[in-house]
Amino acid sequence: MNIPLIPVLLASNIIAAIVGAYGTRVLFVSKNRSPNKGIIFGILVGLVGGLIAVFLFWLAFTYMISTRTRAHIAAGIEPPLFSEQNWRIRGAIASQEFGVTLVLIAMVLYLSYKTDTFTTPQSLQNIALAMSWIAIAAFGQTLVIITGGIDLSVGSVMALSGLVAAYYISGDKSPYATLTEFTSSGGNVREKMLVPDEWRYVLFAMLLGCSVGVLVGLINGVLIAYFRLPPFIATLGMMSVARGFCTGVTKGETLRNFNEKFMEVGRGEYIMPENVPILEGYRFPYPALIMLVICAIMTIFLARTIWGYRTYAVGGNAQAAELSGIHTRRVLVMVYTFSGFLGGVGGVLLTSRLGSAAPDAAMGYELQVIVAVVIGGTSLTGGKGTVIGTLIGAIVYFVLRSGLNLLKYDAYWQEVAIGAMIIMAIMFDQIRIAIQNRRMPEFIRIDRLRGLVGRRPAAISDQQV
Amino acid sequence: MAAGSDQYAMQMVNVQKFFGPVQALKDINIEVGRNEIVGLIGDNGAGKSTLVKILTGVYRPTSGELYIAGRKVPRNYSVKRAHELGVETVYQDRSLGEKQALWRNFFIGRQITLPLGFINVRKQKEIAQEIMLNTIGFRGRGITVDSKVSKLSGGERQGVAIGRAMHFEAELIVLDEPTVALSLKEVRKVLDFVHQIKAGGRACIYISHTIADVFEVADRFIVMDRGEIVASIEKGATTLKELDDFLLSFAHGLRDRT
Repeated sequence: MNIPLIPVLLASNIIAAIVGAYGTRVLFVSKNRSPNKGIIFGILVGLVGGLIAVFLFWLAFTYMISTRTRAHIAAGIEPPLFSEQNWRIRGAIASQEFGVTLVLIAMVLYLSYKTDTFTTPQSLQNIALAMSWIAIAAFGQTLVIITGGIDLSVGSVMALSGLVAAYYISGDKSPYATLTEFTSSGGNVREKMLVPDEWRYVLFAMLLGCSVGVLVGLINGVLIAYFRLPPFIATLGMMSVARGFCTGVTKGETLRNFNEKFMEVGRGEYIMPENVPILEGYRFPYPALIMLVICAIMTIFLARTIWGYRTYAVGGNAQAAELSGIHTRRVLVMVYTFSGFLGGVGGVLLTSRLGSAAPDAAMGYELQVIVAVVIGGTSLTGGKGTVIGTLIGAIVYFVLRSGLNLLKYDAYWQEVAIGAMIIMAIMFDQIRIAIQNRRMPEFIRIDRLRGLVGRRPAAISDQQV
Repeated sequence: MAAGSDQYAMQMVNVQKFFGPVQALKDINIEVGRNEIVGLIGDNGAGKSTLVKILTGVYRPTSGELYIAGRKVPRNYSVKRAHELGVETVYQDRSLGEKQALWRNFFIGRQITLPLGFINVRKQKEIAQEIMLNTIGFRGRGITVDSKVSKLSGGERQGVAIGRAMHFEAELIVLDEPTVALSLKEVRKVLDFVHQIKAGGRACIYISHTIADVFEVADRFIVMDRGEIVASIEKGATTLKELDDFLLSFAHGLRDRT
């Protein structure tokens, strides 16, 4: 008999999270304090609750295995709990993605309980939109961090690529701009300079923006791989260079007056049809949908292609990769180019959404991007990480931001909570590593390989292991 | 001894290597028989690693010729070409990506791919499983193809690397200091793996500082000193003590190169 572990696990964690969130509320109400001020404590309690649940589950699991396995071994039967599936589950519990998901569940539960506004379509839609360009850039950053590097230039790349796209599509600067009639909000027909409202202009502008990202990424990659600059320094330099181009070219001016179709990409939404249960009335902003598509593509890329595997190999052990015939330099160039490209995509979407391209746009976004990656479980030392994790990391970050606002938490103090969350995420990573580095317990030595002992050459059977 | 003879797994003829003005290897002539375990010994800086890296395609020799299984290696010799020609290398504790699952490590540098660069995961796992069970007779506790390499002990890691080399039908397996930083018990395991190479009918070059280890497994010893080969000794012609003294005499500068 095999115990259905996944439902048990999920149920125990959801219960822990609810108890954590509810406990906080009770605590604060009973002390006659405003429950809204308990947000940090709520998150803490949710986190601790999740951790306790994992620990309890781990204990129970170990106990079950030990007693049941012993019984089965005594009876001479293959122990049922030792199956590949169950050890995979153990790997999944110990992954940071799982821990962060627990935190996310706790946060969502708490926020839905505390506020009336969090679960509204409008609020969720805002979160999805706000995180989309950060998450897209973070997918590229994930690759970079898996190789053990870092790309600090991504914020500037977003600004620069948005600006370049704007130079092509903005009525202020574009060589294709013509005097166009439009109806102002007052109902009067007026004229201003606009690029014709055609898709070919829009697509070319976006392509141009993305290729600037590719160019900057390529320069980063070449500097790091072939000129052996430390990634931190190379991308710090490019961050400044790209930002300098933004301000230098525009002289500090902000570009506006895009055509409708260009802004449609960033502002448009897919509205769920009425006949879909639960989701009806929810709107899905295009940038968020693009983010999901890119996430899916990048996940397949990392997990299932040779280039993805080379990325992990370079991050895990660059020397071994090189000796095994992987061109580590090419992999590095590829990875930074990817980061630049996705930064470019994010920048173009941001510009399209804002309807303006300012030279100081996306200021400080590189840190948000890196935070999303790190919360998502990608190790800064390289060799480990997933794009799905990064997506979850970005969601956690933006749910926290939005939650703090919804709870009317003092804006001046919000950074403290965010910083605390980052530190906790890394702490969880360390705990996870400690758990994962443990071998399978001694008492479950019987494994699938056991039946093969007899086949081994007699001469070495007693010396090994 | 004709250059490129078929009876050798590997043959080097007058190989030289310069790093700028520094000569790392001087006129190396070396050959390894088809089922011979050769112990390559020498002090630090003797040129052992350089020699191995030329053999495995990491470095290109400045001059001289290299034959694998009787065939002269082409100009575009590289790590990948070396794999194709059947030269596999196990480096000291460096061959495996630690944070990766075991099955992925079997195929580092040469994935089994479907069209468009997609990895054939199922096939790779099957082969990895096969190697673990049959080729190296792996019996580590709770180690499956999905285990992370960081959970393996040092000896087991070398075992995996050697098993990988054997699976890919290597003509010649190069072990570069495989027992550095291993406990005695782990060293034992590695030596057993080397015995299996011999039993499997393959050739091997075993490089080590620890003469006792080399002595047990090797058929012949090649001693290097400052970029030159100074002696080639059959195992039957010497004892561990003699070999040790011979090496020490170089280390102390008591003996001139012959």
